[in-house]
Parts: sequence; structure tokens; C-alpha cells
Amino acid sequence: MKALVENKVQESQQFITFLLEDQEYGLEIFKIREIRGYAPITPIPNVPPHVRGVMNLRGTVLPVIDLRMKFRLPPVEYNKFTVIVIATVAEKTVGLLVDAVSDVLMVANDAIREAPDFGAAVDTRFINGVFQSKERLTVSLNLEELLTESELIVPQQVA
Amino acid sequence: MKNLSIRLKLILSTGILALGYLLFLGLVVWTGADMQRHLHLASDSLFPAALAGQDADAGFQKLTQDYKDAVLTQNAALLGSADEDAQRVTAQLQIVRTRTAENPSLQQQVSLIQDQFKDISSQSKATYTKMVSTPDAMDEQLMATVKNLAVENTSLTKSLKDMNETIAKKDFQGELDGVAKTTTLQRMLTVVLFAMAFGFAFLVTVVLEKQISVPLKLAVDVLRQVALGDLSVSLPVHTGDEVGKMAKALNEALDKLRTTLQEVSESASNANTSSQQLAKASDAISSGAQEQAASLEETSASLEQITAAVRLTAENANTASELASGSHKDNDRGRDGTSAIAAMEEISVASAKISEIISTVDEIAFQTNLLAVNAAVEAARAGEEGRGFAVVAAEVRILAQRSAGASKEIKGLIQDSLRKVERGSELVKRVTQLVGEIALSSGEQSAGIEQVNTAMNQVDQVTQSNSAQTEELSATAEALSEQAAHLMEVISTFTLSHAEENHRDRQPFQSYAANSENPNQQPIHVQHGNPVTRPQTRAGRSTASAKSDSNGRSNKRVKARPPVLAVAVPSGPAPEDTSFQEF
Repeated sequence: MKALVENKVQESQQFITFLLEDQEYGLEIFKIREIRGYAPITPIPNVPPHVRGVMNLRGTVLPVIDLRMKFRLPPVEYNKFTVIVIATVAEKTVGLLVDAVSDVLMVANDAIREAPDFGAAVDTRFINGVFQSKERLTVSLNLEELLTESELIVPQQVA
Repeated sequence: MKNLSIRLKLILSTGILALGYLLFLGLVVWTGADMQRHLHLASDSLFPAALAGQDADAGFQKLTQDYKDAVLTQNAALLGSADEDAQRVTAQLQIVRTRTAENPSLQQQVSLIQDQFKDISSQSKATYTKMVSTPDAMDEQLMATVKNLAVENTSLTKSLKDMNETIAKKDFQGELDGVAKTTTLQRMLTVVLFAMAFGFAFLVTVVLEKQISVPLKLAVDVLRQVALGDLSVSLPVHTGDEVGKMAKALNEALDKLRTTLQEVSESASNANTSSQQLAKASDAISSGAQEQAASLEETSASLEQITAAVRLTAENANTASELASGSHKDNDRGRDGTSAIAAMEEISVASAKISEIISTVDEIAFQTNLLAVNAAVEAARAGEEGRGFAVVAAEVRILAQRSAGASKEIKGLIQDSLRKVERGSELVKRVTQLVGEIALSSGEQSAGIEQVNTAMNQVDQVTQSNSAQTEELSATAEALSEQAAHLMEVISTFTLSHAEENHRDRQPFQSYAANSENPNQQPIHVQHGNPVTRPQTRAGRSTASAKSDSNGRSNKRVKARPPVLAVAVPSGPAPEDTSFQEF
């Protein structure tokens, strides 16, 4: 039984899936620290627009990034069902504003496929792969590639 | 002659007669004067002349005797007597001469005798005076003279005798003969003149009789025919005198009368037809009025029903309105203080509460989901140890998701029911409004129906009065029809054209017209082709029109003015329908 589970752990990994404009994206569960409901964000100046500001998570100040804006999707009003996914990226903690958390999935490794090659015109570095979840495809994101260093650093003076 | 007026004719004839009489008078006067002249001549001239002649003769004889006696007796005194005798003879001869001035031959004779006597007288006086004075101076010369004187005396005596005879026989007789002749002439002329006058009078009488009496007789006959009703006659007199004028005027009058009577006849016929139509129409109106009255009654009954129905509707509508608006306290729900709208509002409120609760539940589900996800994350972190926890977390997450789904469903349902309630509420409001309007309309309807009822009553009254008046109209139309029929009867006694003459064999003036001296001048007759009074067409036309009338009211008015002279049959019985009285 244990071996089976181990085996399973080896052969599969858990994903947290969330929604952005009805599209499901997945994140490896190990990168996730916790999921929080929406709380007011303190805006900071002189940052890209998708960096909404900073938030205080039990004494730790971390930047909050609106993935919608990052993905150049039309912005929406934040509400009480807006979710902030606290993730660890390159040993930095960051808050990600998403529409909603949809599921916790166990996905077999061989079920994950490579991101399709769109050619040189499209940067596919931030896509780990694509897997089937229920009826639709879920894009597994590579947060280390997606988020740059500047986005992950909280200005010290604010902190 | 023909065209002279009667006045002129009379004046002329009388004048001619008067002229004849004057002629006669003149004749008488003339002959009388002639006779008087003759007689005057005889009495005033010849008779004294004859006396004077005889006296002269006697004087001469005495003169001769005196001279003889004087000579024999030698008495000179006798000579004086002889002178007186001579003067006497001369005077008498002068008388004769003056009295026979008109007879030249006698005058001449007397003149000769006078000359002779003068001669003898002077000679005798001288001779016998000488012989008396000188009785002895008797000589041969004297003797011869005496002898000569004796011869001359004898001659003169003879002449005087002749003269006297002439005067007495010849002239006197002549004058008497002249008187007789004049008398004869007078008698003859009198007879002739009288015959002429008589003839002329006869002629005048005949002419006047022909020109006045005959036409007058004709006129009288015509007028008698007219009096009998035959207006088809005319006077065939065409003279230019008063009688002709009178005939013309009479013909014109007859024409006029005829035309007028024809027009009257037509009018009467039309009036008859019209009155029949009127009677029919009034009958129709009468029956229509009855139907109307019946319909009115039905309508009245229907109206009452409608009134009741409307009243009920109004009440129901009021009740419904009150119910809908919740103001009706007697209602069950009214006691609970709710109504449809209130209930709706309560449902709405409750729904809102449910919505709130559901949203709380949703939130809780969301939080639970988040917690479950976090738990799953923690479990994943925990690795092998957190595996069981992960399962629980997954279960919790599923539950949370289900509860979220359920709450979402409830939310949808609640929102749906809220919408429906809202719609229901609106509907109820609308219904309330409509019901209120219905109630209002029903009230108005009620009032309107009341008015209609009043109007119906008025219509009923009017219909009744119409009915009565229609009866009157019907009676009037009937009376009119009778009058028209009577009029036509009266007119039908007149003969307006010669069309009927053939039947009656009355042609008293046709022959005269044929014999009239001017055949081109036709007497004035009524046109034979006039169809108005043609009796043959009457029956057919009238039946035809009657048929067309009986066929329905397709031809309400007989257009062609049919010359129906047929006696009008009163059109059906008068509408004595007593059903009118029931209204």
C-alpha cells in the first residue's frame, strides 16, 4: 500500500487549478503555500500595472500580481470570491490574483504533454505542459519563467 | 260675304231694305206729285181756262148781238155795251192765255184768237159806229166790210169753239189720262218694289238662317253633347264672323276643357296610384311599427337582462378590486392582514432573506473550499503523513463545492421565484387596475344602459304614436284613394277622344264636316293616338302594374305613369290590428 502510494507519487503530481477568463491554469501543489480570500492590497508606485501592490501575510510582506493583467486579459472588479494564491517562486513568496480556485488534481506524469510549438514568435517558456482535466485542457504554468526578478522583489522601503 | 260680320250683314240687309223702302216712298211721293200736278193743271189752269173760253165765246156772241142790235135799232147806247163785251172777251181771252201757259200750242192758238179778236173788234167798232151814227151812209164798201166782218166773226166763233173744245176735251182729258198713267206706273212700280223687297228679305233670311241659325243649332247640339259628357266633339264652323269666332272660341274652350280634364284624369290616376302606394307604404310602416314594437319589447327584455348582468359584473368587479387591493376586510385573508400583493411582498421579503442566507451559505462554502484547498496543500506538503488528511480535505472540498452548487441553485431559484413574484405582483396590480376599470366601466355601463332604457322607453312611445299616426295615415290614404277613384269615375263620364265614338255611334258632326265647303280645313279633333284615355289599354296596364306591385316592392313607384283609369280598389283592409293597443 505504501509502495503503491509512493509509486503513485513518483508517477503523478498534484496540481491546484484556477480560473482566468474561463481558462483553467494549473500550478504544482508544492509551489503553493496557501490560498486566501481577497483582502485589500496596498498599492505601490513605480511598478508595472499588473503588480497590484503588496499584502501582509502573517507579518510577511509580499507582492501581489494580477495574473489577468499579466496575461493581458480584460480586468475585472475584485470581489469576495476573488482568490489570492500564495505561491513560492524562486524562493520568493508572491501573491497571485486569480478569478477562482477550481480544483486540486492528481495528474499522472505521462498525462502531461509538452507545450505545442508555436514557433519563435510565441514564447512558450512559461508553459510547463498541457494536461487534460475533465473536458478541457489545463495549462500548467512555470512561474519561475513567468515572473521576473523585479516582479518578485518587494521594495524594501515599503516593506 | 262669308267673313263679313253678322252685325255688318244685318246692317247691310236692313239698309238695303230701308233703301228699297225709301225708293218706294220716293216713288209714291213722285207719283203723287205728278198726279197732283196733273190735277192742279186740270183744276187751276184748264178748268178756269175752259170757263174763260166759254165766257169769251159768250161775250163775243153778245158783242156780235149788241152790234147787230145797235145797227138795227140805231141805238148808240148799245155800242157802249158792245165795248164792254169786247173788253170782257179780251179779258177772258187773256185769262185763257195765262191759264194755258204750260201748253204752247194752245197758247199760240189763243194768241191767234186774240189777234183775230182785236182785229175784228176794232174793225167792227169802227164799222158799226159809223153805221149807227150815219145809218144812211150805207154803201157797198160798208156792206162788203160788214159781210167780211160776218165771215170773220164766224171764223172767230169757230176758232173760239175749237179752242174751247181743245181745252175741254183734249187737254183736260190729257191731264186726266196722265194721272191715270201715273197711277198705273205707281201701282206697277209698287208691285215690283214689293216683290224685290220680299225677295231680298227672303234671301237675307235664308242667308242669315244659314249663317247664324244653323251654326247656332250646331253649337247647341255640341253643347248638348258636352252637357252629356262627350268632350270629343268640336264645332266645324270656319267662318270669320261672330258665329265662326264663337265656334272657334267654343272649340278652344272644349280643347282646354279636354286637356284640363285629361290632365285631371292623369292626376287623378296618379293620385290613385300614389294613394294606393301610400296605403301600402303606410301598411308596411304599420306592420314595421308592430315589428318594431315587438323588437322593442325583446330589446327591452334583453336590456333588463343586460342590466342585471352588468350589475352583477360591477359587483363582482368591485369585490375583485377590493380583494386585489386588500381593502376588503370581510375576506379571510383580509383578516390576516394580507392580500395577494401583501403576500407577494412577503414572499419577496422572505426570498430576499433566503437570498441573504444563501449568500452566507455560499460564502461559507467558499471559505470551506478554500480551507479544503489549503488543507490539500498542507497535506501535500506533509507528504506521506498527510495523505489521509488530503483525502479528508478532498471530501470536505467536494462537500463545500456541492454546498456552493446547491446554494447557487437555490439562489437561482429564489431569484426566479422573486422575478415571478414580481411579475405576479405586477400582474395583480394590473389585474387590480383592470378590475377597477372594469368596475368603473360596469358602473358607466349601468348608467349607459339606464339611458338606453330611457331612450328605449321614448322609442317605445314614439313607436306607439307612430303606429297610431300610421293608422291615421292608412285611413287617410284610403280616403284619398276613394276620392281619386271617385274623381276618375266622374272624369270617366266625359268622353275625351273619338276613340269611343265608334262604340257609341255618335258622329253627329262628321257629315257636316265632310260637306263643309273647305275640305282642307279639318275640324279640330282630339288626337286619336292619345293613349291616356284609351280604354283598351286600361285593363292590361292596370293588371300589369298590379302584378308588379304584388310581386314585391321592387318597383315602389310605378315610373311610367301608367294611365290607369281603372277605378281604384281600396288597398286592403285598414290596419285594424288590435295588437297595437297592447303596447
